[in-house]
Amino acid sequence: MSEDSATLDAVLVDQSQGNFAYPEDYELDAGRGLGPETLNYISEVKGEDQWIRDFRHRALEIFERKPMPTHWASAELDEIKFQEIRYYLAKGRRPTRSWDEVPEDVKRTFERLGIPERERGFLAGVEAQFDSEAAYSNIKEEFDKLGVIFVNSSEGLREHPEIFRKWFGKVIPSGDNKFAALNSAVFSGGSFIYVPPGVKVKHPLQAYFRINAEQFGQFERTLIIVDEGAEVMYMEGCTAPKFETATLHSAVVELVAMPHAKIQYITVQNWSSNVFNLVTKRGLAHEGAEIRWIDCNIGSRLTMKYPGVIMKGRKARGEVISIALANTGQHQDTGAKMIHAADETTSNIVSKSISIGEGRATYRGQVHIPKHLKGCKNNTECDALLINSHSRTDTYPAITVRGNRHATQHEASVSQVSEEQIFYMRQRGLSEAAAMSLSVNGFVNDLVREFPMEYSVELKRLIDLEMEGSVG
Amino acid sequence: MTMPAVLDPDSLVIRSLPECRAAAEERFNLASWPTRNDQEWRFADLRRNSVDGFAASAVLSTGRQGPWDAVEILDLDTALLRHGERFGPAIEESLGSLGAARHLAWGLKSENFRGECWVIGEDQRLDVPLQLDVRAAGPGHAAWLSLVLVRRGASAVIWEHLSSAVGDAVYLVNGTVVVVEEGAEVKLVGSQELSASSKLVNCVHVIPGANAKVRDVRVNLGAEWVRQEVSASLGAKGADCELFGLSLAGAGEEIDQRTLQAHVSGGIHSNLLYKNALFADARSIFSGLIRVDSGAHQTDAFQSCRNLLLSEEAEANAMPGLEINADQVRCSHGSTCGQIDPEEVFYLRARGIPEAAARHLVTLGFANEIIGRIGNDSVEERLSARVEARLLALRDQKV
Repeated sequence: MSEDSATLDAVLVDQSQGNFAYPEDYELDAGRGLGPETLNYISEVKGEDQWIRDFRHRALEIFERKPMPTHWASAELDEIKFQEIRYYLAKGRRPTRSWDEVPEDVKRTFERLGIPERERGFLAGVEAQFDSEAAYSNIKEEFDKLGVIFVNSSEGLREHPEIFRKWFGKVIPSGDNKFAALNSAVFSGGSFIYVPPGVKVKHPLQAYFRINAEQFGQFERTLIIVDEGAEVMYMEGCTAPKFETATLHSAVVELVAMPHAKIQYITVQNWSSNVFNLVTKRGLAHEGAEIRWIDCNIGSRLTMKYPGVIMKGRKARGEVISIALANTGQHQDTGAKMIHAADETTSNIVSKSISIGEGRATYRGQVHIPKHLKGCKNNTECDALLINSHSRTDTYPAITVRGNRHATQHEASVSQVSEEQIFYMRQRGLSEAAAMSLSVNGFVNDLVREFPMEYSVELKRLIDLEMEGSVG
Repeated sequence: MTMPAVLDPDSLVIRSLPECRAAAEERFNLASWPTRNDQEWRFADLRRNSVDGFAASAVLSTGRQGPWDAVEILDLDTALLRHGERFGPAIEESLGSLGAARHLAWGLKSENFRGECWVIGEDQRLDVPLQLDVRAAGPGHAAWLSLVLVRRGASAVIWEHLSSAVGDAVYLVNGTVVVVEEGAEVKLVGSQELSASSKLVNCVHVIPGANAKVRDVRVNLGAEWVRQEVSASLGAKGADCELFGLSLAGAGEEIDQRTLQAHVSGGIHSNLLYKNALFADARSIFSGLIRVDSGAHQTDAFQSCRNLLLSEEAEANAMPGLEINADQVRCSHGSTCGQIDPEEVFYLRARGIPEAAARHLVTLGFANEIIGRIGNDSVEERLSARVEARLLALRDQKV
């Protein structure tokens, strides 16, 4: 009897864990739907200058004019009901300065998400985003001394227009694609970072995002400018509660690396499986600069994300390292875009995807080397792992090379977990699921190592979690 | 463009040449000319495919070499009467399905449309190549359709060569359907030396049966614009399909190739290697897709595209694609764009070979890898000589 109840206890895991839904009480709400009045409301609340208001309205016109890109992208996009989405919500107008001032229920949610308090002390600056406004932001004094600016988008545009206005919307113009236009119209939140010349930020900058209100999309806008010879690593981690109706997440992230600067941008995306995650990310690398996108997509219903680097200066370097995991009901449509626009620029793309159950992983890439350049190099590797017989994977690269002084190579392979490997591990007493999980972790291991420690640990756990129940 | 969701296979059976023309007429009206947003025409220069100004006036003549006496040659009307159920769906649906449906239909509905059907009898083994030369005298357009039926256990080498006289602006539409029965083997070579002002739409569809072997080699040595679509319908167990291509292009030329390896059921091997050597401001577009349908387990499919860029103005576009819906598959694709390896040139120069000759030798070596895959000495020898002549002509070309 007691044995039975022990088993029962073990089986009855608290199913509500992971359902981080708390009562919503938003002070500001733009209501549902999208129109010029929505933009006016956002601008009013944020007290924005006229040029930002004009920028938003121009973007809205572009958004309305542009058709859905369904001639190449998933038809699922047509299921997004733009008029049912809430475009702006904020807990408070200004981000809270100290941890003590952060509302109790927000703290509790972060607790659930497992952001250790100690980590915050360790990590240099924590920009914790709750819904569309930064709920918590704290930058250490030493950063002020170094002249590093780490603020949210409204503050960045309001307080430091001399720095941010020059590049805002320049790497990704509003007309780039329909969703970049949408973001440009309704953006709020996100991080604006400026690192002065020669400053090498030792600790990674980090921001956690989450969505909490039903049918409410996040449209954060991030702009990172790293001046000559400076270096920074930025980490973006996403996790969201479960909802029943689709939500939309459409961010724009612009990176500017001035000559010889280095930027690493790390993302772990784990939205709940009803979120449309349609993100435009692009970096501009000047002479000798390096931009690395390290991207991991585990969650969401449909992710469309192709981080890009425009290598504008001689010897600039771009890299995309990407891991995608697609479970049943998910489509990870990810890739990379490398635009070589100067001599001796090099780019590297390594993409690994895992499809589980009926999940679908797609790699879509573009490499472009125009004429009259010399010494450009690109290397692309895409590997896909299929776990079940209904898993699906696609690869659609496009490579354009002009001129005879370049070298590009592209390789892709599709495989499954080898039965011999599984057999070997089962011989040594591992269950089939454990063996499978180990094998999958091995497949992405060399990429996972590119992530900072705490992320790679988190990633391995997430992969284990996703693999649960996928075999047997 | 609207198409019925499910096509009735019986409705695709063609029993005569007039039926074939009527089907083409209907397809022509349903399909549309390519537009900028057409993924099937991505990277293509859309000014080039236009059929405007080409009247049905080109004159086709044919010449033969090899053991044609041993082959049953049928006119298209008879061939469709006897084998309409095998060729009909391929003509109506598969040819042109990678984007050039309207161009193909435009050719097949034309009054200037000719063709033949060849049946290689059961267990008949023809080692000497069957060679057919199709010459077009322009200007204007013409269409040629070849239907090949290789009976059970038979084997043959077939070489179709297209050409047009220098200065003649010909728009040629050329279709080939190859049906290979169980255990049979066919090597098909399709080469063209069209004039520098000619255009070619070439669509090839191969259907290998169980344990059948098909090797298709496309060799492009001419034409101002080529749109080539090669598809393989792989649904019979133990089939083996190899697709090779070589294109040598020069000033003002565009080679646009689209391929499909459709693995409908499992246990089938396919391999593809397309190579392009590009001189002056030549452009190449390669878009290949390996599609593994759900349930097609134990598939082995490979695809590779190699571009050699020999001038600063040359441009290569590669879109090697995979769509995998099954597991227990081994699939890979690769694509490279590069230049002549300076080390190879250095090696030859160290042995007293002048630079220009060294570069020519390296390029010839690059091209001959494909010619060497044909697997028939007589065809290889003759094509290799043409490849060399073409390379020499392209070498000194200026933009």
